[in-house]
Amino acid sequence: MTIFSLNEVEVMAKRATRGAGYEWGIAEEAGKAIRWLCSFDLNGCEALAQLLKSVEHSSFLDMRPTKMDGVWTSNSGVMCPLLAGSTLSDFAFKLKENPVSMGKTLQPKILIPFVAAGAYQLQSVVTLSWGNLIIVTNGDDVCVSGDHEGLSPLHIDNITLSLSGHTSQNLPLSSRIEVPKDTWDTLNMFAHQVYAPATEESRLLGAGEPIEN
Amino acid sequence: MNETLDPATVVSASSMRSPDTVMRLARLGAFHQCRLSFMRTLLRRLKREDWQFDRPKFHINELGVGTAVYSAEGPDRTYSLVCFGHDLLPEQRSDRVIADAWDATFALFDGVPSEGDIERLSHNVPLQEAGRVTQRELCLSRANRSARLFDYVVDCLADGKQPDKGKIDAVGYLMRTTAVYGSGKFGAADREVIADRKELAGPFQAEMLTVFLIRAFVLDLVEHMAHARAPKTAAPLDRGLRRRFGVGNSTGLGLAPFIINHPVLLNNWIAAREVALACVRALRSVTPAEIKVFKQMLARARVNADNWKSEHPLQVKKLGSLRADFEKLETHISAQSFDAEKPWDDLYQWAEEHLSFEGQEQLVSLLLEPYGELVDGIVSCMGADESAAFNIDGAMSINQLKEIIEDVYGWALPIDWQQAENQARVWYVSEEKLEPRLGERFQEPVEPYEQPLAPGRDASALYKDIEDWSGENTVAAFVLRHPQHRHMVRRAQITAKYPYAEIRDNTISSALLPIDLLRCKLSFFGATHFDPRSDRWVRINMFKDAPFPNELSDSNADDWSYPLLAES
Repeated sequence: MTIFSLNEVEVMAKRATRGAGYEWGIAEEAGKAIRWLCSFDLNGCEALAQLLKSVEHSSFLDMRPTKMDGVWTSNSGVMCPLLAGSTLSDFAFKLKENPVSMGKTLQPKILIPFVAAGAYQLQSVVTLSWGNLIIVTNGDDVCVSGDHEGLSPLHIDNITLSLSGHTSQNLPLSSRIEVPKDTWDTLNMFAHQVYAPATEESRLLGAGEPIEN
Repeated sequence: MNETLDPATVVSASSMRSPDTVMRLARLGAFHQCRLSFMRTLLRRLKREDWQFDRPKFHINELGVGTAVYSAEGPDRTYSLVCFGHDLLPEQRSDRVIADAWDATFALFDGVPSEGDIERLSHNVPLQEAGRVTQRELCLSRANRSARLFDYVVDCLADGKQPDKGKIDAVGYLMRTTAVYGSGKFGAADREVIADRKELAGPFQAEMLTVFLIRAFVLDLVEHMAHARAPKTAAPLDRGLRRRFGVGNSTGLGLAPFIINHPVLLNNWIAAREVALACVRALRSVTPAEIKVFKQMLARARVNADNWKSEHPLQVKKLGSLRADFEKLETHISAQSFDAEKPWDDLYQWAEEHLSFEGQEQLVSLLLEPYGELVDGIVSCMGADESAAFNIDGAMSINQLKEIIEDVYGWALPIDWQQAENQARVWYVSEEKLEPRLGERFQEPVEPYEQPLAPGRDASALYKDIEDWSGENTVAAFVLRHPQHRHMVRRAQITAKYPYAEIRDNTISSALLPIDLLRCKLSFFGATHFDPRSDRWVRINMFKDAPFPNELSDSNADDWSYPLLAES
């Protein structure tokens, strides 16, 4: 286990997500989302590492919400929480009309920061639930009732969101996070895809060796 | 905002220079330091709050190897610079990120370090990126000796002689930092940990404090090494000569993407300077005292330009323009009575017509000098919370997004981005110590690793895809269909709220000079001499001529950016 700053987590999550093949815009959002989870000590890195491994050979376009009337679903029948989460945040205004139901989603914990972003935009409280869990956030604070074990399934079939609830017994904030070595190694492996291989030419040309004095 | 701002000089947004004028690389690359810069902000605070400085530890041998601790005690907290001196072979010395050994390494500790802390740091700080630090460390840094000057100065002092002033001024520093890391890197404290502390809330204050204390260490180091070598004959540096040494800084591409990656912060820096400028231009009349300060600073800035040395052809050309501008400016001013209404506004408008960007931006900085009470308070607006502007506003209409793109990125739309020279460069990160680099798209296989640092190109691509969408549709629906544009949509929405957030020039063109990006940021640090070593490396000198920590209480803390006129 190593203790990391939240900045390190954000940079690694962004690079790992990009390295896994997502667009830069989603990668940036993944960085912020995983950082947010870690700031509440919610093991965001593990969730991301699991997610990236499970989508490794999938088509992302088939994992984003395409049907949004009634229960949100994707073409493939399972949604990526980064793609579904960013869509939730973009369409936060829909929550003013009706609650939202979502179908099968991988690593649902990763949705929470996006829901928080939506709550912040709406200046309101949003309740997110699946299984026995109820998660309530106003954008700044978050509280979780139910079995916390239920936060980390590989996927969940049914999620609902509504503009409702109030936050109490909020999760405390953390300024750094312990991450298991194998999790960080997994993220690093994906992040490595973002780096250009070191070559002699690149070393000479790319940074421009300064004249020493 | 500054509470002492006279309502008579309240400025409307329309009197600020437009982003189309300011946010051009050629102009940003001609910025000069001003009183809002971070080094000056720091020293004004340290003096105002009567910070106390001490050196609780100095165990350094005659080779400069060992450990030292410098402490800075403010009204609320104490910070300590923990210093490690090393014995570096000349062939190991490099300014590159890929270096793995240095002449000296440093950590700024949050508080007073115990022996246990120092022991822990001794195993990590000398390793820099290969080590780990903790939340108790705010900054991590390293510095290398100047091969030209360091040994020469130690030799002189050991012989009881003072080094030659000309030789000192030719270099200006004994050691140069090659990185000053903060903000959570390598395990250090995140920015959020210190952002609410009034002494560190301003941009880069922890980093500036680190460099200010490094300077104290470096000067103590040469005197100590001379004395250790020859205790009977060694002399300390004359106080006047001592101040002539700043801390060099060697900056490369690691810093260049910063102002692109922090759009809200960039906006706030630039906007603060522009508001300050607009305030001064709006003044209906000026006093003889204010004119006197202005003229003195103008003369001093001119000496600064005369003393400014560089061998790089780009900089030599700019210096030529700047010196010619001073000639024109001084001639013009000598004919002014300053009796007309809004004389500073007249002067600025004259400069826009008659001077190069170097002279114009030098004048902008000079115009602020007499007005500390009016403008200094605006530094409190120069921080930023980038995360507050991060989320895409999905409810925005396509029409509105189109208008933003046409307004902010109108310059980019007519460019043929398929042409080689318009997309010649690729910003990427090398797996070699994660060093940021700038490659040639058509000569090297680096395109697959491209970082998103080309907002002009991306805005143009976004605009093409958006053209077919009806205006009432939502941004949310658009990015669902086109996820590749999320990054750019976010940037465009940021610029709608923060008008100075975006550089309005091609950042991947064959004509790009990364040193323009570096100079913009370094001018806000407070640098006065920019010495490019290539189109992507810059040497600057920090705190040159500034008082040392133990001199602050009986010196002017804010009168050192330009040489005094009494000196030649």
